[in-house]
Amino acid sequence: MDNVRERVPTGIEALDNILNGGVPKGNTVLITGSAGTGKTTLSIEFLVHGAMAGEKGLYISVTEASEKLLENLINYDFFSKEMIQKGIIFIDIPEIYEKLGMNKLQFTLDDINILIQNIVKIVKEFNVKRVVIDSITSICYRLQTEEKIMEFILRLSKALSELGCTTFLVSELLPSAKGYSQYGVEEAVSDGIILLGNLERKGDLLRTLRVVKMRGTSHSRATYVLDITSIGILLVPLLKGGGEMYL
Amino acid sequence: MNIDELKKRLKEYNEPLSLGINTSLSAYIDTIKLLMDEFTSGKNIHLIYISATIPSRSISSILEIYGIDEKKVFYVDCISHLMMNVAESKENTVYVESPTMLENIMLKTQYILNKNVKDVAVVVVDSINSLAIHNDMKILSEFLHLFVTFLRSRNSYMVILSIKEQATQEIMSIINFVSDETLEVD
Amino acid sequence: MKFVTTGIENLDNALMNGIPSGYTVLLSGSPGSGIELFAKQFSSAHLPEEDTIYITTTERTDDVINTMGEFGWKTDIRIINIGEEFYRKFLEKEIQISRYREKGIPAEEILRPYKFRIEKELDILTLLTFNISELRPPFRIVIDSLDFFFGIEENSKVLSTLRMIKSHTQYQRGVALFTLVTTLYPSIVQSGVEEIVDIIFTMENIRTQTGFEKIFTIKKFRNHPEKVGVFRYDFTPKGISISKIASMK
Repeated sequence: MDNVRERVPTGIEALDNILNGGVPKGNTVLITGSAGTGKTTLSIEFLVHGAMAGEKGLYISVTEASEKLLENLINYDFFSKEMIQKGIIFIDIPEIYEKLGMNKLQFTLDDINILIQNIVKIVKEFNVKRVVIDSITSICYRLQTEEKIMEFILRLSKALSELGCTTFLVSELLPSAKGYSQYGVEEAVSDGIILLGNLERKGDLLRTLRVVKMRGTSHSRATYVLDITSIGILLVPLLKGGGEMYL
Repeated sequence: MNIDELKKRLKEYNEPLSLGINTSLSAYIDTIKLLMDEFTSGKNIHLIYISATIPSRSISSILEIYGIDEKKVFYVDCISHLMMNVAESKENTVYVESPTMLENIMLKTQYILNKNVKDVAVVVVDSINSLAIHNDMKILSEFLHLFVTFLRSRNSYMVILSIKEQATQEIMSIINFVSDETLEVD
Repeated sequence: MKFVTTGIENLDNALMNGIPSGYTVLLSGSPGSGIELFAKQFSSAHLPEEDTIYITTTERTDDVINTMGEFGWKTDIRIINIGEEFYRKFLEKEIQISRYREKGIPAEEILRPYKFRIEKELDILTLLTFNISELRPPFRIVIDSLDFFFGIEENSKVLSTLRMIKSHTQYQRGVALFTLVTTLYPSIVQSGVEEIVDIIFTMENIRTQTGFEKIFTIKKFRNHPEKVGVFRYDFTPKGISISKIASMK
């Protein structure tokens, strides 16, 4: 079955190996984890590799101004910031909210529809193939109810998938969250979940990555240790130490 | 065997394999010199030196004294941080916070391989005895096994150094387990 | 203590000489009760020496003048139209929003920063206080109506602006009248304004079996609870008139 669906390589070699070639095309993947675990870096790298392969990327910034993000972006050896700005469209969603008069704290169903339509419109007009929304949690905050969050993610991912777009939704995990997402709904409606975390082992802090779920491909569910470098994200398997648990 | 015999033996290796070298303390420095010289000058391949016993700067100054060219050498230094001995960062050196962060040793090696080498290399682990002080045996053998497998997939050599005076039965059995051949040097 | 006339003789009488200088008055009423007409009558009743400004947020300046003319009132007042300018921009923005919501944001606009950002920062409350701080005593301020400000600004900001106007009026011994449509706001806004002002009038057009009954109430008079009372009001060709309610006594 693995060969049936076309793959979108993330460009992160080890991750593509874990996923048996990449993310199945059209999937909506939740990139989830607490603050400072590398979610944004991973998502940007996904877009950068897309841009290198001639696939237009769209980065929708919800929490941080994209200008600031670009300033703090890692200097990749393989791709200049100028190239990144050429190959990836950066959009600050507060701008979109303003243009659409969405200044109320809580969005209506009408607002949701219009927001989706506008994202889809951008994707169509610029022929975007890879989308990152950073973060979905901030949008969910303004959707408030589980029904609306479900409606939003399902309808957005369906629309983007139909356009051949592969989407990463960055999810902020607070210590209070029980599952893999803040509202619980996000993980249920996503096609995949990549969990990023910090693992403390005898006083050492390791950055970790685990593919929890990915529809359309078999994949390893092992935990990997992650390093953010100028040549991109590197991964190695987390040593288990003879089955001992360090979590 | 003595150093000269080791030199002869190393010259014979023309395909990537993993080697355990159990050396006496008196032959330790000579062994390091020989490895550096033989692989970088003799075989003309890159050498990535994982230093867990002596800080990379000390190794580097030994090479300087003996006039061994460091051009093809990279260091993954996992002891200087622990000894709070990281002065200026050198271009050919990557630091790992502690010798307990075994995954990071692999990650940094991978980083050097991908960024600078892109070809066959030899990775020297100096030494398994030092790593054994900081890590339990289970995790250490898992690490070396994974590491060797990873290097093999990249057609590269692995040399695991052990110091005879510190080598336990357990350490020797790990070396034997992950190496294609174990050499005794006095 | 000096008093000024409200422009309605019977009301002046009921207040036992009109409105004391330095007082701030709230006139609240349901839509259609005639509060905006009262506001015009009140502003026109100023003495020659009273510097009078009429701040309108809902009507065109000409309409204010024309209405006053129809009733034969003096129109020698300054009219400041805050609403007109704001609504022009606001409407332009709203029209664009509804167009974008209907058709989607055009591609070339998506990457462009938001156009109305700067105008949004046009601070209407600062504009209001600036106009008022320019007044020298004796003066008469009419704001018709507060609804506009509550509609576009945070409640707390509007309330603190009103507090500033009230203390300016008090200190400089002028008078100020604010109109506010009741039932539009959460009670916290209503009671916030009521707490600031010295006098509260309400106008209600109550539906009865036989038609409408127009009730004018003096709901609050600072330090003079004896002046509080309920009256009937009516519209005459000369303006609003007030009379006692015999039956209710």
